[in-house]
Amino acid sequence: MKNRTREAQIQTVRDVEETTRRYFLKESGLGLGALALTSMLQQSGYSAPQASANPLAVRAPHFPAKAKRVIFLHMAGAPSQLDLFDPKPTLIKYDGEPCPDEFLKGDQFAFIRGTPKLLGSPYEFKQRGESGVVISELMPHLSEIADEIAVIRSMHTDQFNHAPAQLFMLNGWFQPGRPSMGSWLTYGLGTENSDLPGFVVLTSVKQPDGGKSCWSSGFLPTIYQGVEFRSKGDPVLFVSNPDGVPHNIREESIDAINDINQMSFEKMGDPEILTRMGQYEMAYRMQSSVPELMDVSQEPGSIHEMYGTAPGKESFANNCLLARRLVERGVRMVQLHHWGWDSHGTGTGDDIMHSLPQRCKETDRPIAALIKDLKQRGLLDETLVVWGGEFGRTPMNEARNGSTFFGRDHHPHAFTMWMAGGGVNAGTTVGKTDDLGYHVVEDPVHVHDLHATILRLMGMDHKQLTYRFQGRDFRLTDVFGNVIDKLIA
Amino acid sequence: MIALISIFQPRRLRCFFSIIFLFVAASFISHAAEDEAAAPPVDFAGSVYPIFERSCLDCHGAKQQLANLRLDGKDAAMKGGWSGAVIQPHNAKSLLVARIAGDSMGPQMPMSEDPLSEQEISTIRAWIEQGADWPEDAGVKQAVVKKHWAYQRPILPLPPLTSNPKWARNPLDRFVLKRLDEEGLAPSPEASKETLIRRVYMDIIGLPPDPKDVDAFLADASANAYETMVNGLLASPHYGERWASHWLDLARFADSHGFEKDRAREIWPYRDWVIQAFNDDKPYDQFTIEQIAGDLLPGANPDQIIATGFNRNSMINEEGGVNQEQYRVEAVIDRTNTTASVWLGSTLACAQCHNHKYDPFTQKNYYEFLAFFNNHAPEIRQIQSFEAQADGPTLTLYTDEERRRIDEIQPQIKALDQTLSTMTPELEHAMRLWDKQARFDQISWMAFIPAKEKQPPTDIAAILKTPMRQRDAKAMKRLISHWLSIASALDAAREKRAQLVGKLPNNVPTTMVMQEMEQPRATHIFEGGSYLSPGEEVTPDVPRVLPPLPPDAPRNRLGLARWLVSERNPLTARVFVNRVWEQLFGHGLVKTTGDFGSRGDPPVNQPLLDYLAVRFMQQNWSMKSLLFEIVASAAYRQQSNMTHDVWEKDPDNRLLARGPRFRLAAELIRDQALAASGLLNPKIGGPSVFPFQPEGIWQMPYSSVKWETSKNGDQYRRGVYTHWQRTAPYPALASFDATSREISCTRRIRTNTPLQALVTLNDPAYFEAAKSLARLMVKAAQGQVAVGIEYGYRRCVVRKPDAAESKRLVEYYQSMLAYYRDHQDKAKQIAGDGPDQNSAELAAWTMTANVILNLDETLNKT
Repeated sequence: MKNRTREAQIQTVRDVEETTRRYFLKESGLGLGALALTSMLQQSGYSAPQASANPLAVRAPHFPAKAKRVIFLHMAGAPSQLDLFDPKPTLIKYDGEPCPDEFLKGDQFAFIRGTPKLLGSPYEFKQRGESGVVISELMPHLSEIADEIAVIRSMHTDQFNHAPAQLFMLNGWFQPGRPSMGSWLTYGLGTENSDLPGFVVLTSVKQPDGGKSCWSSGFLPTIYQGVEFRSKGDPVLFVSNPDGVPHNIREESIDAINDINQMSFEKMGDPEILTRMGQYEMAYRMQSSVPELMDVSQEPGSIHEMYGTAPGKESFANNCLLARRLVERGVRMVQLHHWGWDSHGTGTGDDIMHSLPQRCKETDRPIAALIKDLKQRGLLDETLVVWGGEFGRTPMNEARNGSTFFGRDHHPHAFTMWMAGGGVNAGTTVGKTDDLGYHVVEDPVHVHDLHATILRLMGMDHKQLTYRFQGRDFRLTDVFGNVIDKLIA
Repeated sequence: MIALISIFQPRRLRCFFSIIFLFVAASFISHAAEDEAAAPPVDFAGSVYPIFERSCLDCHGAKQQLANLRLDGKDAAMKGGWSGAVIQPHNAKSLLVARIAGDSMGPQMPMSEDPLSEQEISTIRAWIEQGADWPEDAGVKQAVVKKHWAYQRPILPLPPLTSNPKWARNPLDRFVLKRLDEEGLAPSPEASKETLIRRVYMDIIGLPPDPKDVDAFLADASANAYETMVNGLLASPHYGERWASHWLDLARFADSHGFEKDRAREIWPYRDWVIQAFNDDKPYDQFTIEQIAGDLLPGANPDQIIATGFNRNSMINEEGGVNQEQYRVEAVIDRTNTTASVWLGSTLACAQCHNHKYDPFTQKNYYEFLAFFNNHAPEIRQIQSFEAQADGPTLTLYTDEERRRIDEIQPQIKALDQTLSTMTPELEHAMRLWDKQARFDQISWMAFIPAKEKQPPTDIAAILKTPMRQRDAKAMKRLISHWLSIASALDAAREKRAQLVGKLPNNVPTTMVMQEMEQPRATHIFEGGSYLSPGEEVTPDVPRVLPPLPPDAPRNRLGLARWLVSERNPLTARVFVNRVWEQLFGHGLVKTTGDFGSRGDPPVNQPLLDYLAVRFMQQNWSMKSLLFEIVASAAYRQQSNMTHDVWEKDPDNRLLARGPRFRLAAELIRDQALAASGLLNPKIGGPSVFPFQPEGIWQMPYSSVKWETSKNGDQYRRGVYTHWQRTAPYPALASFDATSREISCTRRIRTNTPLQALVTLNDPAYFEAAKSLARLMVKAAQGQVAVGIEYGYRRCVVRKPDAAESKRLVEYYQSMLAYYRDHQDKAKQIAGDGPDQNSAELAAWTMTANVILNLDETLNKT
């Protein structure tokens, strides 16, 4: 265990801050290699900056760890745990009865008013695989790989509105302004592919309610911000050359820019100029690496069959396939958002009889395919896959304004998430909720605990991964969080 | 005996302490067996002081005295710190014991370390219980507690003597040079006139000089040519735009509410107020008072009320089903933290949940400060059961002409309203006829009514059916008012009124402003920082470590604002001059511009900081005078070339052995490209605009605003006018570290990523600038490539290219020309349709301009 001292930690933080500007100094490969740069530096009598000056250089974790990358499958809107992972016979028994007062007392809801009625799940649950993990009939493909996942039935959060709860789930704080998990991970560990951003975001249907704050670098340098890869237009903004400018002509312009920059460097002696040169080289390389990455047409038919993907289509399935291609190339964190899980039951567009099965249909097969595909490539051990929404759904029917469609309101007290891959104790079910699924009764896992555990699986001590901002050392887990050992193999 | 055994199982066994343990153990045995008086006295020097040394003095010793507490000398230790006496002889419950045992409200000491062992705690407890005897020769003789530098008023320091008195152009330079002398560094020579004019243009107005301005400056051989130019720039209306950009980061100004719905808000007049305030050189004290409490000033004028938009810039959550009180409180917290950070450079925010761990702010202080902001009028309204809408106080901004029109029309409308609501005998008679007829004959009543109504509303019909005598007063009142609204005799008056209303101004801009409620809200300490756990009630006050509010000061935002800019306040002036320094030199004299507390970076040159702060106040808080003094200095005018020696000793250039050189801020990158290419629309003020951005960035299902590229030159306005959508920041600005402005940002951290290169190379907005610059270069070239290149170069970096640079660019141009001559289709994609020769040339010039716009020297202030 590598336990850095407090002083050393602070120093590291400052180093990163100082040298953010000296980005990619050692990274350039085309035309102007790392060697060339180093020798230029030596010629000019500079001994630093060293490789560590690159704020995205790979850094060793605090502990040895299996997981090296994270794929976070965020189901924006919050899926119903009671219809997917946490069966409640009692709810079926008392379906339509008023929810007992002792549960409702002092609780606040987003939309339920008065005394709501209990709502049993209409879906059948079964134990799956050898491990007997329980999954409902809505997720047949996930059921096939049940032994690969560890289910957490005892998640709970502090927030019960979408935007704040999504920020809480992804950034550890309900207001915008703090770094998201992917930013913390790239800040702590760097990234393995210098031709791609370390933290990539893919969205389907539409953006999550929390907007771009869900992948913001907050107060960390913007270099750690999630970069949105888009399915329409340029996958990365402005990665395509303007019309009339082919790749070889762009190469000539980069050469001209950097030749003159080098003259500036010789006059001015500012090593930042060398950094700028590296930056332009890298931008040029991204112009090839990003389109290559996004072009899923090279994938064999069997893969498309498995995921349910089609080249050029905008879908969650395509994003799952891209997620695999990204982690395969060493991207540290890939965050997928799939929107539309907010099953209030105000109509068929958001109820648990039509809308919920539809969302499952869109996601079940590609998610199972992603896990199988990672496994067959030997990547699952190194890749942590996390699935879940921002909170859970109530055991009661919402019946907003007397709606006759079945739906459930927002529920922060108990919900289900699952994890698979890198270092996860697969095939287990952690935590228990009460007979109604209202509260957690065993092994509660708070969002901060989940974050502490994810960081631990990635080899990071959540108490040591800090950043000094306005006088305080901040962490992803604020001043909370316990690692949940039961989730770790 | 049990106690004894447990005592002999220390958690951390150390030989050094084993002797002490014996002593303590012995004292416990005797305590159990006999009376206290018989306990052997604890030897302070041998047993207590070593614990202090090992565990306490890092923070409460000679190096620093956190919480004003020093434990390495008798007098200081006995006096205690901010929490009062910590050692009370004979009192086993003294604060020191409570703190190390974890029995007090505050954090257990030593902070962030393992607690002391039970034996160590017992030793200290026993020592205090026995009278806390501290022998004179133990510890440090004269332990003086220094107040943290930032909490003491700055005094005007005398400019020091330096190694080179001739170098200094003004007193500021002597402070800079003194510091360089100390480090064995020497200042750099003065930069060339070309470098200086570009530097000072970018710093003061944020736009590059036109080649004509450059020529004039180069030709001006007078001794004060530079000062003349600076004064001209300070008088330019573009000065306000450049400096407002920075202030708007602090003010978290944006054009949308934030959170899920992120609907548009109208508050751009606040932005224009900031620009105007800079242009008017509004003294910083007045600038402060108007933003924090303009609405509370006696006889406040509209401008002073617009200024209060500063606090309305907090986010508003319109998401369905949210707890409105939670987000109301969040806005108040945001205002509290922002004020503390912007004016005091203080991390008061840390005391929301508990006493500040490093600075002298208690949790109570926090809520007392918060109480100043807690009395605002409601800012959101429930419109349906689950729908809420931002709805706070706004100010409608009529022009003088509109105001005059209103003054003229309103009385006429009022008079007509009187006519339209007054019964006359004639009207009464007509009504009786109508009433009677309607009752007699429901079917044929239409034929008789002397009014235009075809069908009466149901409630009127019901009243009409009721016999007259059975109608109550309320029904009669309703009937009369209905009659007056339909009676034909009043048609002319009604028509006239409609005409007048049509003449009233419409589409008048509004802006969000602050307003107090008449009945103040009670403010409570929130236990653990949660609004769900209100504790003790508090009243508005300022932190105790700073000078108190004057006794006659109102306990509201106005009192607070005046206190902030009181000359007794040790922080406000320092914090502001430090921000200006950061804008000009890349780093503040205190690098942590938002944290002047004990955990912030100490000032690299405190006498200089204090000199600037006091001068600033002495010069009536004039921001222009401050800027002038700094840019007129020799320190500012140095060339920014770096030597190895300087780089080794001061890589960040905090000491200023050379001039500033760093990448331009996001808005300036944009503004410069527009200005250099001749596209810039220099219009000042007005609603925010929508420059080009690619499809798909804008995903605002709840907003009525659509991102449609502005027209008629509005797409070429300066970056400060770009519509600022909190959840979808404008990508070309965001790539260069502009923030989302969801919360106040005291310091943009400059980064350097390939995504930035992609923006300036490929963003259609930047490529358009390249095309436009290309046209200017063609025109200037008159057929000579090198001349055109020189002109483009000068438009971006001011100086002329040297021979090697020029040669390389000519070479590039020729290569491009050759390529596009062979690829006319591609040339036309760049240059549009036209004769082939022209297309290829224009394409080659465009590519050359694109290169110049992407040079390191272009992107940097040098």
